[in-house]
Amino acid sequence: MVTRFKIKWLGEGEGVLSQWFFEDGGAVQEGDVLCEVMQDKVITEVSAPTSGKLEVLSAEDDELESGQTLGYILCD
Amino acid sequence: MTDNSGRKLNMARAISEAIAQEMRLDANVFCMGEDIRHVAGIWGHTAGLHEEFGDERIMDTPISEAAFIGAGVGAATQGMRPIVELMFADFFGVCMNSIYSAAAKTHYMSGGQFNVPMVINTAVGGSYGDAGQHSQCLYSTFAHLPGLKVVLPSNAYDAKGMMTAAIRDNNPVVFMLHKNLLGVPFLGDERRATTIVPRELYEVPLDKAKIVREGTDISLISLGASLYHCLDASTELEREGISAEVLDLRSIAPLDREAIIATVAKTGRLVAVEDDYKSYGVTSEVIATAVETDISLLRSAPQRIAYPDVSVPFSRPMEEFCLPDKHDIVAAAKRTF
Repeated sequence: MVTRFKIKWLGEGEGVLSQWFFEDGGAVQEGDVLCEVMQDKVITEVSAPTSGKLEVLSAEDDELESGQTLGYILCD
Repeated sequence: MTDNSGRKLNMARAISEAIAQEMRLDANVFCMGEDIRHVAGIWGHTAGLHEEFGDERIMDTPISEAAFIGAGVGAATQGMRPIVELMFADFFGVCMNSIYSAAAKTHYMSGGQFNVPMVINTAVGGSYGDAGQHSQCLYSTFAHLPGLKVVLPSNAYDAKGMMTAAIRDNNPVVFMLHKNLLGVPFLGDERRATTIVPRELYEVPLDKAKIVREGTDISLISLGASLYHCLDASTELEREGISAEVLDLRSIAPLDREAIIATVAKTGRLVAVEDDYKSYGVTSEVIATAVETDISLLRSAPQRIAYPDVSVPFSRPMEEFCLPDKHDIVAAAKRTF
């Protein structure tokens, strides 16, 4: 059975997704930095909660609201 | 490289990963400097190290560069492999005796009895409004003196491999981090420096330049952040029918003179670009290398683009005016035809 882990951005206020460090479909390992979200000069890294295959939902330069889903990690 | 997950890292992360992996292999490797423990290095390049290796191997120091760089030299002569932070290259003045007379000379002055296998990390470059004492590059200040290796990786893949090689090298290596490339957006957001980086440890040699774009009509030779201006210029030149070859020096000392001669022999035209002061600089050395080897290699006068010989202005428009960009490079390239 495939499990889908939701990747959310949980920062306060609005931010911009500045960079993904994996392509859609990339094989991520638990703890890998998946992407960065920028607010003014502050960068927040979003790390993988588990290992699996990344499914990217939000694109680089997208404006984000707190709680927004950035993508999923699919694992067996 | 077996890893094919397509994982990208920014340069700061690539460097911290190299340090961590080498520290796991070699108990003699340790880090010390200002703000590397709790702040994780002000560029993020020691992120995660203190959590894994603790107080004894990741040491914060007081603001006393002469003392902790001197301590690094002492530790290195006794079999340790220290990685020491000189936060900004601009701060070299207070510790230059430790670098120039101790780190660089000990192997020679001891008749080969002592090596100094030490890495000095130091950040270079401006463009973000930090004025005259925090924005310099000072490549040739370090490279001029025999006894030091001086390198400046331009992307995350090279940064990890060159950091690994630097830690393993038995000579003191000044490992320059260009602030525009590290992955800290307000210091200059050059995303092309963030590249796919294998998870396993590997080495990139400390004495080899690399052709990053092949071409036939003109050689653009550069390093660090200026390399990306050369790549932008080469795209513009391509539209006008000029095929530019771009060489990333990667190492300032030793300089890969063979690579410089090879590309100039191929294209016959040369623009050398850097963001350090113009006089007595890397670009001067590149041009001298080409010209003194064989004057007939060049079909026209070589061009030199560098920071003008003035202190870095605090004013952003004035600093941008001083820094080399692709327009300067395109204009200089056209002058060679």
